Amino acid sequence: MANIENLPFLGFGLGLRPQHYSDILAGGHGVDWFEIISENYMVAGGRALHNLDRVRADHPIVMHGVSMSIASTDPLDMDYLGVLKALAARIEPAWISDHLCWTGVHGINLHDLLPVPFTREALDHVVERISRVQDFLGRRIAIENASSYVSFSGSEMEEWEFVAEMTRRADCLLLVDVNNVYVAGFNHGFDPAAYLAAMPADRVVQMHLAGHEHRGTHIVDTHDDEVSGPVWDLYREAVRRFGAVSTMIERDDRIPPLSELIAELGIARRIAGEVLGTGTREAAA
Amino acid sequence: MSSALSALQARFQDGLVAGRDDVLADIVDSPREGRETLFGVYRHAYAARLVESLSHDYERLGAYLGGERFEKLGHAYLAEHPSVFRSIRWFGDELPAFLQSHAPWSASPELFELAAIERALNDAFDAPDGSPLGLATLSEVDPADFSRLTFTFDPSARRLDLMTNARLVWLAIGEDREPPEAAAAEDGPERLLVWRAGYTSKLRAMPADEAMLYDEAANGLAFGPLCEMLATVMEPEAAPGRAATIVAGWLEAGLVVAIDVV
Repeated sequence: MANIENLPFLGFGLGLRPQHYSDILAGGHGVDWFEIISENYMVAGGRALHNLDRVRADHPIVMHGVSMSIASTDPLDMDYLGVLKALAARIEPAWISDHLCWTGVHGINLHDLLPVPFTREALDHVVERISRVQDFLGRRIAIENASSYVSFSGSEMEEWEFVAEMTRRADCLLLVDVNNVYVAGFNHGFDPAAYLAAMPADRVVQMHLAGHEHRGTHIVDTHDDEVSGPVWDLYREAVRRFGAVSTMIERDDRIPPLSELIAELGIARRIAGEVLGTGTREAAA
Repeated sequence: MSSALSALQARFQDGLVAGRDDVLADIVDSPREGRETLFGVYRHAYAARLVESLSHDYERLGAYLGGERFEKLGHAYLAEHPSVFRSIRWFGDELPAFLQSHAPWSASPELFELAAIERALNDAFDAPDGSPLGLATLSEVDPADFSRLTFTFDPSARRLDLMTNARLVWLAIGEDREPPEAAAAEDGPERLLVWRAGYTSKLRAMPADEAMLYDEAANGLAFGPLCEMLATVMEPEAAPGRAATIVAGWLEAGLVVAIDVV
């Protein structure tokens, strides 16, 4: 299904990590696009920006942030948004995303993606802030569902109801993290497939895949291992639901050689090809 | 903003930074696990992530102190300096000052100087890009203007004066050697220059006369007065030659981004 903005299907990508710069710049790797952690490049100068410019010369880039803190009750950080906008002007990303979370209050950044209570108050608050960010950046942004380990007694709706309503009212895009849906589903006892079914498919511009750590009674979103079997199964379901959507693997710890991630990305390509039909333009990308 | 949401976020944050448990009343047990354990995932991740980021930014300090002592330092620092930065990259900015002003670390000055070296290298790494001038630039200058030349250094360049042998400790750890016993710097303070050449951060010790010239040049003093200053600490006749050699070295190292005539 085409998304609402006709944003391109970029194919299959990876997070851009410094360990892989030289292999990526050498070319011939077959990775279609890269996602950057925006904050890592919101610096004055130096090697990281230089390498990003070089990678950008040959590949689409999407910008993925971790500090917008869209659900925080602190004021929006306009300095942050200004630097984000300047970086976007420099590298012209296909789109910009951040998480449905807050990262701190009272001026503190806890550097974690903290959970949102699914209340009407939080929904109004998040919708209003996404709208202001979109106005400032002059573009729709994609919001990603975060992993979470706790549920709040004050929640008035399910997470998927919150996300669907947020997307409709804020007129934003969605980055569906398939692993996060699975992790939250296990941790909170909901059916991840039902979550996917509730997502507005025409808003989904990107999907994340990642590994996690199963601790028996709960799962922690660690991004330090291969994508698990159940998450691949859920990805298959997501492709059925959302069609050809730009998909990537996130790896942030215990980062293996690029070739290993490319091999893992091949599983995503194969699954998408099987669901969409190998003859489709999308699956062949 | 005063609301149920802001109050909840304040309680949640207090649970992470101050160890308070009030937020547990807002959280429900999951089908398989109690709320204390589940909130504990955030508690653990908060401290672990920030201390780990310090260990990346201060890798050699971590090796010098050893894992356990570094971990203790990281938690003490975090308790006093929660991050206020958009990027975790700057979280550790105050670590050298913290080491200098807090016992037991303040009793070992090589610790904060080692941290200061690492911080300077990190800062140089992503400092604004400069466009260094080459040595040939000097040949374009009218010799009559030499005494009125001022120099602008690369935005990545910064100076440190060390009272200990922290540079030798830094060097030894980087080369995987046993670091020397901490000691005062030989022959007075050691003058260091840290800068980025191309995309690589560099560090070198400077002779005292060069450091003096560098500091004054960075303050905008022109070449003529620099020579006069040098003449007070060496043979006056040799001072202009020595000053010219030093300036040529700066240009060759890519340290100078502008030369102006004042």
